[in-house]
Formats: sequence, structure tokens, C-alpha cells
Amino acid sequence: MRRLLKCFSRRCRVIGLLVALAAMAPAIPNAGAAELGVAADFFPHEDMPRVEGVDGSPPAAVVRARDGRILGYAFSTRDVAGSIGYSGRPLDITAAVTPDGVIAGARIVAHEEPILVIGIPREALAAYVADFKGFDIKAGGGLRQVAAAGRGPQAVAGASVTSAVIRDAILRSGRAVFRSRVAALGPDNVSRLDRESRRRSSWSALVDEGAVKQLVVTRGDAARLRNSRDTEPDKTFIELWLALATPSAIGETLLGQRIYESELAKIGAEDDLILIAASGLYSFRGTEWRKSGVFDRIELQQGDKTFRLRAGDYERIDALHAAGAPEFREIGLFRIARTSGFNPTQPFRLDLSLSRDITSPSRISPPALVSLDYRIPDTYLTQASAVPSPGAEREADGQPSPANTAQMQVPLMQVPLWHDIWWQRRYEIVLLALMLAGLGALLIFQNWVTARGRLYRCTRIGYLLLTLGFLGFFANAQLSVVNVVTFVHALLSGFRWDLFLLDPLVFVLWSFVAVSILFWGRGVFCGWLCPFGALQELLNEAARRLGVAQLQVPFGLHERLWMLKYVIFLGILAVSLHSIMAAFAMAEIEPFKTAITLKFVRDWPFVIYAMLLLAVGLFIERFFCRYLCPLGAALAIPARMRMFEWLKRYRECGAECHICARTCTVQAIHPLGQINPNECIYCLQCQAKYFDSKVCLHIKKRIERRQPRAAPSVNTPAHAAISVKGVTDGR
Amino acid sequence: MGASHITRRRALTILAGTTAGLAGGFAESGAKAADHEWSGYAMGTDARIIFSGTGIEAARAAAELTTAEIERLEKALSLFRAESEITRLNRDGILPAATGDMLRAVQLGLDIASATNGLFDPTVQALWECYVDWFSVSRNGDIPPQPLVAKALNAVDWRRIRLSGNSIALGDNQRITLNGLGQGYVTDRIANLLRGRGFNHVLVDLGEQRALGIRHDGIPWLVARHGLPAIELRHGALATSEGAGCILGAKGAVHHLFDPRTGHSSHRWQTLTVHHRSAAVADALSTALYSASPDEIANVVTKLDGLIVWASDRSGRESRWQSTIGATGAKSMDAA
Repeated sequence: MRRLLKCFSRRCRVIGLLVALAAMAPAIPNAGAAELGVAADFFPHEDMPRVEGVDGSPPAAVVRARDGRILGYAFSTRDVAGSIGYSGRPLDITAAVTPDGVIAGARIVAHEEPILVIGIPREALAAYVADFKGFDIKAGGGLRQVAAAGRGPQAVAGASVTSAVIRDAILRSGRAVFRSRVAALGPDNVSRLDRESRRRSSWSALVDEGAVKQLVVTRGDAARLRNSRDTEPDKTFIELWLALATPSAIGETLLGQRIYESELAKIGAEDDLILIAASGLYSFRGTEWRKSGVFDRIELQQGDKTFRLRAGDYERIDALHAAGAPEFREIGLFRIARTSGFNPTQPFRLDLSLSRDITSPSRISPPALVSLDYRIPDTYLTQASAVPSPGAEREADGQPSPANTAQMQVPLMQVPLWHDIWWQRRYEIVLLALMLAGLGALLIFQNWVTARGRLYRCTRIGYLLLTLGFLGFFANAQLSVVNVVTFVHALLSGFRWDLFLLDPLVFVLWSFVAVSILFWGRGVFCGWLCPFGALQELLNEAARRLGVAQLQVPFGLHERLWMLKYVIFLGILAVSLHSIMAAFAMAEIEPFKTAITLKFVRDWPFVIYAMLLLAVGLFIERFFCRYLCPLGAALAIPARMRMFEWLKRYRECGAECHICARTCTVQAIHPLGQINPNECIYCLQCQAKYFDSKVCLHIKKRIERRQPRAAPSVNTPAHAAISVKGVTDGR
Repeated sequence: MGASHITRRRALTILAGTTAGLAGGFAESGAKAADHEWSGYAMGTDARIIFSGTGIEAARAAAELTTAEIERLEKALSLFRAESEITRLNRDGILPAATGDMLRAVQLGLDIASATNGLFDPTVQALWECYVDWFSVSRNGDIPPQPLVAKALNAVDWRRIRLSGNSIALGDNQRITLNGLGQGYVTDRIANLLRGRGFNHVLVDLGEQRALGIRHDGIPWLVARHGLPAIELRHGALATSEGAGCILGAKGAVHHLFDPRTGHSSHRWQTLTVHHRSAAVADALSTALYSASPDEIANVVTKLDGLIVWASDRSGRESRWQSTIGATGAKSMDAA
């Protein structure tokens, strides 16, 4: 019948067939699930085939035998492949594919419209479509060996354009359904990228194993591709390297721990990082992306998918961290979302487009493109962990019966990585939660606590020790301005919860800090939850008890030095927009990593810097917090939104008495008496004094007023002065 | 041009070098290295690739690669895909964030339109649609009335296409087709992909024939033409336009190769073949020059490098033009 069709359409009647299909079009707008019922006819009657409901993507319906076996999958070519006939109107064919990848049958979903075909009977068309029964659609199905010699000219192939369209519609839809229902479960797709193992490698090892791939284009190559000439054809036009940076052995080695982790934090658990580095004359980035937001010179291709690289998913990297790595003119890191369809376990390629040479002698030159193939080495792949044991997996690898295959259709549920981490650190999380609950209670009932001076002082020292010991040295949960920068960038490049969930303690802490900023200002973190702050305060406390004299910074100078930390913070933020790596280097102004995370086991310049800050802190309490801390500055800015002003003052404070102002941990109390909430670390010391009748001048006066005759000598100026002195020294 | 550019190459056939093949012998013949032919479908036409002297495994891997690449490119360039980039562009009049392939194909189309003074015009899709619509309702097969054609012709002007950054915008009522170079573009992409995989004896035939080296036994490819001498192909690509490839209407007066200046089918040439190293360029030029006068052909050929053009008029007499630089890789067998 196919030959018959060829005859008819051989010379000039092609269009008639097109028109025929076009004429059918109006009758099939609602073709779909209802039309799939005819697929039952494609299977043997003795199986009593039944077509079930359409579901899944691409949409298809299971055809099941009476005994429950899956006979095949029925589909509509229009629903699956959006098939269009030659005249640009929908073309719909119902077909079915067996679990073995063979077309079980196909039928045009057409109605009784008159067919305006000159000379082509409707039956011929139907027969052509029906002829697809038995066609094997698996990969390579179209391949055959041909006689190499003695082959005469082939007969002029007369298969009409429409037959080509019909064939394409059936085969393409059939393949899509087959791939999604059956082939996707093959052993190839069971392997996953190993995202969990942490190890380090080296540049040369990565190159040797093919984890980093290279492409060199000489100026001669480029000239040939761009239809132009070059005077120095042997020189390098571009030397480009490509790597999948998601596994730690590749990403962490190339980027260094800090950048790698911060980038990992920006992507979802199933997303990927791609590193592209290059040197030479030609830039893979060009400049167009700054305007359009999409890189126009590079594109990733994988199978039938195209991935454009977007400015929002791009991070400029200044240099590679790996020892032995060459210097590059430009390095870019690109985030690829799993939802885009990218599969890191499969081969992919990078297409680099060489922009047109405007000096080219011929105005027409075909697009100049070079490609670099990449495949992640097998050592970075693991078998899916959902398989209970290796033995069971091997059994399953044998020929799975169609029924088994169908039952495996439920995609293997992947538990996000952060679930595991939270479970592993559950005790720390509970302890932190208790700590925060305690702090919350203390803040809410602050008057009750601060009115009991001894209780307050013990609580304060105890809490600082807990913060330093548990949060700092044990759990390493020291918040840093790096978190703030990462957060800002995450907001700029598409915020994802997953990334912040990877460190549970930091996540819980930040959540609490966010709320506490809203309620009481930034001081709750700085005064209670910052391990380095606690370290400074405890050391200063010890120094004071040992009789170290404190330096009083004149308020005018003090107030102006505050500005430093804001400048530092804004500087870091600004630099991060250009290079996050440079910003992280600047963030070393925080001695947190040296003092808390690494416990002073670090290169000597860092250690000296941290020690110096602590030493100064013995004389000027919380010196670093007052003037330098960029995190404090970062928190002080949103803290202007705070809702409660609970710190109590007397109207007289600052007028005749400056006890609180002079003893304030960070000198946040103005000589005139008011507390500057931007600087206040909420240590509540002034509140304890507020209630302390032995310290507060106002209370003393009031008591005296009530009992004017009881102790007439108490309120002499001399006594007041002594009292103030005592407080300043001994606290 | 129009959507069924397709069939014009059905008039062509690849000859496997019959006599020479026997004489040459096969150093690598046998099961390991034979000729394998893959046949499939691409850009609205039957596609074939002949892997000469390649083992079955290598050929199968290459066929898989090719199938995926065709699928990928069709998502951008094929008018027969409901959600392809070109379909969306025609529907919406604008395509933001086009892929590199779409941008490059359109850019090349505009370059060729400019180099041929509009003889090639991607916006002739409006004409094609006008004719198809007309013939789907006209029972007697007369050509469409002039006002209808004139109206469609209003939407034909490649200069109203705007490429900026990564977006493409059409003028009012404009629709474009890449079928005048899309198959060639895909052919080039596949050929380059296969070359990158180390294949050196391959013929890619998606309507245009692009040779990746000659056959493994040292014999060039032979491309047959309807009633004309075959052409020997050593490298580069051949594209042939033949009005008879796709006749519209029962009376056969109209075919798919429109002259963008008049809105009517061109009837000057019977068959026109172009050789260029790029199948996309050959494809577009074979479409453009089909409507050209001999002077216009000579003009284009002098202006561009690496071009050979054979055109046979309605009496069957064939003329030949070639660029002064780089016109090698193919010769007509009547010269031999």
C-alpha cells in the first residue's frame, strides 16, 4: 500500500494530500482521551485489552490485558508531539507502543469529511498509517547495512511529504512515550551523580581522568571558520576548559572550599554547577549578556535539549584554587537547575559560537561554531540508593517483565539532602532551640530578671559561656557577614530554601535573629548569640577583675568611629556584586573564622590579627563590635524597623548621673542619657542598674525623699562621687 | 520555498559510485567496516546519512547522536512543531530569548537576503499560506486571484525582521519560514558534530547533500539529478531546487518556489543546483537563484566566494557559473 501511495503522490499530487489532512482538521479539535479507545483494536482480542485513563507526561494511557498485564501504551500524536500537518493545522493519529518498543498499531483520527485529494483514496492513507504496525522504534531502528558496491541509482524516492509527516508524528510520539514509560527505567538511568562524598583532588588528576576537558582553537582555525584570514594562524584564539563542578572532588578542588560551599548553597539539591575557564584572544562571555541577560556565545547541548546560560545563574570567579591550575583570562561558574532537564550523568557538549568577523571578505559565512564534548567520569557516579541491596539490584537487572517494569513507574523518591543533615544534628538543634527559648523568655520577662541583680549577672555570664563554648567552639555556629552577602545574592539570583537549610544551626539562629531584630533590634544577636562577642566580653570581664584599667573613648570620637563598620559592610556588599570571591576575602576582617571556627589554628597573620583585637578588647570593651564589625552594621540597618522600646530610663538619666553611660558595654548610651539602639547590644546591664537601689542615683534620691530624716548624710555630693567611682571600677 | 521545499530533492538520488566502487575494492570491508545507512526524518523531510566504512556500533552511536540533535534543532527551526521557536515566532510576532541556533539561522537568512537583494526572503511564508489556503477550498485548481496574492505579498519583506540581542521580532502580519535554509542548517550541524566525533567518510542528506570527506574506498559521492548529469561531490554541500518537486493545485501551474518580488512561482529555470561548503548557504542560494535571471546569478557568484551554480532552463539546456575563489569540491559528470 505504501507503494500505491508513492505512485499517487509521485509527481504533483502532494498538495492534494496535504489539503486532505487540512480538511480533516476541523473535525478533530477535541481528539484526546476519548479517541484512545480505538487503541484496544491494536491488540489481540483474546487478551481483552482495555484502555485506561490518560496520565503522565507525555500523556499516554495504559492498555491492559484481562489478566492485568500491560500490553502497551496508547497515545495521541497531537497530545504527545503536537504534530502539525503540512498546511500548519493539527494532525492527530492514535497509536500504541508495546513495552518492547514496537508500534502495536496506528490509526488516523479522522471523520467523514470529503477528501479533496485528486486521486488518492482515503483507504490508501489509512493503509499507510496502519502499516506502521510492527515498526521497531528503539534507537538505531532506522539503521541498516547497505551494499557498498554495485548499487545502482536508487529509484527516485516518491514518498510524499505527508507520508513523512505522518511517519514522524507516529515515531516521535512513540519514542517519547516509550522513553518515559519503559526505557527511562533501564540501568543507564539508575546511576546518579555522587553529590555526597567529600574529597579533594588536584588539577592534573582532574585533567587525567577527564573531569576537566579542554578545547583549543587556533587563530588559523578561527579564521577558516569565520571565512577570514589571520597573520599568525598558530597562536591561540581561545583555550577553553569545561568541568561539571557539582561533585566536591571537582568543584571544591577547583573553586576552594569557601566559594564551592557558597555556590552549593545557592542551588537546589538536584541542581548542578558548570565551570568554564578560558584564556586567549577571544572571550566566551562577550559583552552582549550584560544587556540581554543571556550569554550569546556559549550554549550547553544535551541530547535534544538546549540550555542557554543566563546572567542570573552566573558567577564570576577570579582564579582557580586548585594547585597546578593554569592562569585564566576569564572563569565563569554557571548554575543549571534540574528542572531545566539537564542530567549531569549523561554526556553533554558546550557550543562556542565565534562571533562574525566584520572584516571578512565575503559577506556570507555560515555560523562559526566549535564544540567541546563532556562526560562526567564514572567514578563520580553512584547507583541509586533506593535499591535495597546490591544483590536485589542485580536480580532486578535481569530482563524485567513488562508488569514489573510498569510497577516501577513510580519515580524513586529522593529525600533532600538537608533532611539527613538535620537528623544527624538533631541533638545540637534541640539544645540550640532550648537556648533560644531561654533567651526569648529572658527578653520577654527582662524586667523581672534585671530587677534581681544577682540572678541577672549569673545568667549573663552563664549564657555567654554557653554561647562561646557550645555555639562557638563546639557547633561552629558563628554567624558571619558572609551569610548576609550570600543571602543578598540568593535574593538576586532566585531564592531557594534548600540552600539555607544545609546548616541547621545557622538556619535556626538566623531565623531567631530575624525575629529578634524585628522585636528588639540587632542587639539580641550581638549581645547574646555571637561567640566572638562573648569571647571579648568574658575576657574583658576577667581583665577587669584582675584590675586592668579601662580606656574611656571620648564620646565625640567614639560616635565618629561607629561609621567605620558601616563603611566596611557596604564595601563588602559592593565588592560582592563584582566578585564574590573578593568580598569573601574582605570578610576576613571578621576574626570569627580564626578565633572561633579554627580555634586559632591558622596562618600567623590571621592569628596575630585576632589576638590583637582581643588584646585591645581588654582595655576597650568589645572594641571590634563597636567600630569594625560588618555583621553588626549589616544587622543594624534592618534593625531600624524594630517594634518595641522596652529599655527603661528615668527622665533624669543623663542629666545629673552618667553611671549607665559610662559602664555601658559598648558605650551606646549618649552622655545626655538616651540609648542609641543602633549600637546597643541589649546586654541589659543598664536595666539591672535601673532597678538597683545601691547604684542608681535616681532611686537613691527617691528613697531619700521618702525618708528625708532617716540618713541625712547619704546624699552629699562627696558620697555620690564615691559611689560612681566604685561602680566604674568594680561594677 | 515555502513549507514543502522538501520534495524537490526527491528528484535526487545518491549514487554509490557504481563502477568505480567495484574497481576500487574495500580495504575495510566486511562486518567491521561496511557502509551503513541511517534513515529517519528531519525538518519535514526524509533524512539519510550514509556512514562509509564504519562498524555497526559506531554507526548506531552516531545515529543516536544525530537523532537527538535533529530533535533538538527541530524544537527551534521546524514549522511542523507546535511549540518550536519558529512556530511561536510566527504566532506571537516576537520571540524573546531565542536559542543560538534560531538566532544564527535567522541571521544567516538575513545575510543571504541582503546579498541577493531579496531574492531569498524568509518572509515568503505568507505567500505559501495564501496559496495553500486557496487550493484547499478551490476545487477547479485555478490560481488564486491577484488581490489575494497582492495582500499576502504585503507581508513579504525581510527588512522588517528585527534581530536585537537574543530576540527576534517580525513586522505586522509577517510569518517566516526557515525551510529555505533550515534543512541546510541542520545538515551542517550534524556534519560538524559527526566530524567532531572522528567520522571522515559520511554523506548527510536532508534534502541537501553534504559530504564529510569522500567514501572510505577513495571514491567521491555521486548525486544524481532528474534528467540531468549526475554531480560528483568530494566535499561541501549540494542543494538543488526544482519547481516540479512540489506542485500546488490540480492544474500544476503553481509550485512552491515563489519569487518574492512578484508573489508568483518562478518559471525561468527547470532545475537549479548550488554547491557551497555550507549546506545552509547552498540551500538558501538554490532557493534564491531559482527566481534569478542569468545576470543576477552571475552577479551573486562574483560577489561571493566558493560558489558553483548549475541551472537548466525549460528546454533542458544547462548553464554553469562559478566563483573565482574556492569553487572546488563538486563537478558535473558530463564534463568527465
